Amino acid sequence: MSDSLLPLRREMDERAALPVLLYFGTGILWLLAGTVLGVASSLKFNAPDWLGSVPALTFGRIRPAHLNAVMYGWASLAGAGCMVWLTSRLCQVPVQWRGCLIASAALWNAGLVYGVGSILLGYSAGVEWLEFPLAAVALIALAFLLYAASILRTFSLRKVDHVYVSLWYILASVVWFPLLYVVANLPIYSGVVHGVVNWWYAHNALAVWFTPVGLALAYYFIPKIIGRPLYSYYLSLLGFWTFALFYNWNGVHHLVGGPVPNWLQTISIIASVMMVIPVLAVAVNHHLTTLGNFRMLRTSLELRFIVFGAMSYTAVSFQGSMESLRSVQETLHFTHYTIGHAHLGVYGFLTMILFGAMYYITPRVARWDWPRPGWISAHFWLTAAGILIYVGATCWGGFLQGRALNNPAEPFTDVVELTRPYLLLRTISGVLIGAGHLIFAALFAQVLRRMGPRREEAVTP
Amino acid sequence: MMFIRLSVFFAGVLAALFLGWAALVGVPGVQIAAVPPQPDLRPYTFEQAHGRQVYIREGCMYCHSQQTRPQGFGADQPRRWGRPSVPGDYFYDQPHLLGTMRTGPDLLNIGARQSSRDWHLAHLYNPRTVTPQSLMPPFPWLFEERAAEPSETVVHGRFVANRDGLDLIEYLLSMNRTYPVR
Amino acid sequence: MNIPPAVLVLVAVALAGAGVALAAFVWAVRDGQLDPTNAGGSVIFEDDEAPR
Repeated sequence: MSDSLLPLRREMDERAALPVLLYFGTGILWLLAGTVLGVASSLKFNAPDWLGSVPALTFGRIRPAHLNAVMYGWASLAGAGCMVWLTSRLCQVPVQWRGCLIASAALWNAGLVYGVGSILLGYSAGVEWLEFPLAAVALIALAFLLYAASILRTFSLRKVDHVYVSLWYILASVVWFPLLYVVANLPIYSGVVHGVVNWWYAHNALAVWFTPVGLALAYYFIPKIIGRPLYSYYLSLLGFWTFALFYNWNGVHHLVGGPVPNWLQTISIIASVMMVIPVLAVAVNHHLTTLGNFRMLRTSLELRFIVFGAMSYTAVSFQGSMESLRSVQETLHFTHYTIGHAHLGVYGFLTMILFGAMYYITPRVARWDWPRPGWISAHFWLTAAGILIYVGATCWGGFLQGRALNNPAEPFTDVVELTRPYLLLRTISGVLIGAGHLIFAALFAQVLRRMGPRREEAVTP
Repeated sequence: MMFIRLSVFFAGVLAALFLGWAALVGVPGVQIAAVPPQPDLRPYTFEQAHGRQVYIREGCMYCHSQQTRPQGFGADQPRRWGRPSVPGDYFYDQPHLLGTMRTGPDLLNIGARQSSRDWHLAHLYNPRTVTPQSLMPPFPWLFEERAAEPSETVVHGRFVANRDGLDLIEYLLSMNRTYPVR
Repeated sequence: MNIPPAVLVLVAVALAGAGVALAAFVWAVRDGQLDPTNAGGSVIFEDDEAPR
């Protein structure tokens, strides 16, 4: 069977090459930019007067520039590239409407330059996760719709009988995200309602776009690379619906204790705890499929990244469910703990899975192998160690910070002093992560410049 | 076998998003939209509104919240950061600036807590001149170097606040929701 | 007890919505759309790059 499929597979990878490499390449540029902005933001806590006279580089501008560059730049572009390739593979149809995808990548990057530039120059809209001015929002929304059109077109021509679970997440995300993004950006909200819309959006951006991308990839690559089907495929499909139902209601746990109605906080806390159900469905499938195959983590570097990501997903999800409880929020809200949690999710889970997927996809579409496997391993250890130190430092430091904040006898300046060593540790971990990113970018550039060995056909995954 | 019909799939997916929107945005939107402003809350003056834009431009909300928690939930009350805030306190806020971080202290009532214009001027020019332990960035571009008028305050020997700096302080001083809830 | 009319409307709408969802669920079960299947899990191997 595999021999007869070889021409189709080659055609699929060839047709996917240009849009996928465009999304990947520009995504990596935003990863580098976002990393510099992130490490610089962290350094500002260690040396507040460093670059202190440059308005565009003040903490309050580079911190949101970091978030937007890594979320709408890196994670979205790299994720879109992965979804394009995966949809083609799962539908057994070459990528359709490639012009849409190329226009999408161009518009997306134009929107990012405009949006991140606006934040740095002082034209932020002032709402967390929604800082981009409306013109940048329009460009990115259009770019996403073009991407969605191509995905849906490819899907409509599918040659397979069964729609695999990864496609469920992909299809849901392409209809969910544009709706959410446009509704949340409408300039009609004010006061407390605006706060609620803000966190409904920010948590849902994870629910309807970033997490589906990560789960679609994990659901495909873990069984694919290991070579055995999911532990319980049926469970994965049921897990999808509980995911769709509960994740949407989580957002207001970001405002626990704030001036929003109590019932609203309560339903978001309940929904956050209910997330245990879809998370268990995912965890059972990912971990029990991996169980007994840990030796493969030594041979497959792609799998190593992806299993690290899957483990982070389980960890960050249970952490999030517990964190939403009122008694826990009383201490952890307003602290660096939240930052640690966010990075465990977006980095430990999503970004590590994106790395693994890109290490798998790039040689196939570029038809060129990675030149230096040792570098890939270095990339893994630098980023894995970096993110573990990051999460450890911010979560523990944040916990101590929260306890001190809640002790009225503790002067505020003492609370600030207490967090200093953890903030320094965060910068150090950011440098480790950044070093990993430089290796990754260098490897990617080497593949594009055909510096390694040519790829042999029919290599086992 | 598709396991589920495509039409059902997309209907379910859209219904899930809509339900979340209805519960988290629609219903609270209707409920809170009916809340009038607190009678003692003043709309922002032109200067205060401009100062609020400077607050947004410099990203103050990434370290300072503008919400105070009730007695028994955190230490906002014993720290005297102000009575628990209510939706009517935010009637004129667009965009909202509730914030989620307290790297610095809550600012909902900073105008009541620290009403000295001179303190704010020195603090904004470089926070470490008044609070050595502070991690807050300096904002020298809210000041200019020129001969001061008699009415103006000079910081660091030779700097006076520009329009942005003065309006930001107007905004900070207006931050006072200590009136009783009615 | 004073229940605002808006709440009563919301409860009615919520119950109606729940009724529609329940009816759709029963229909989907009878239609065989929720029949247990693990077969779909193998589709990802159809494009395998080498015989295993």
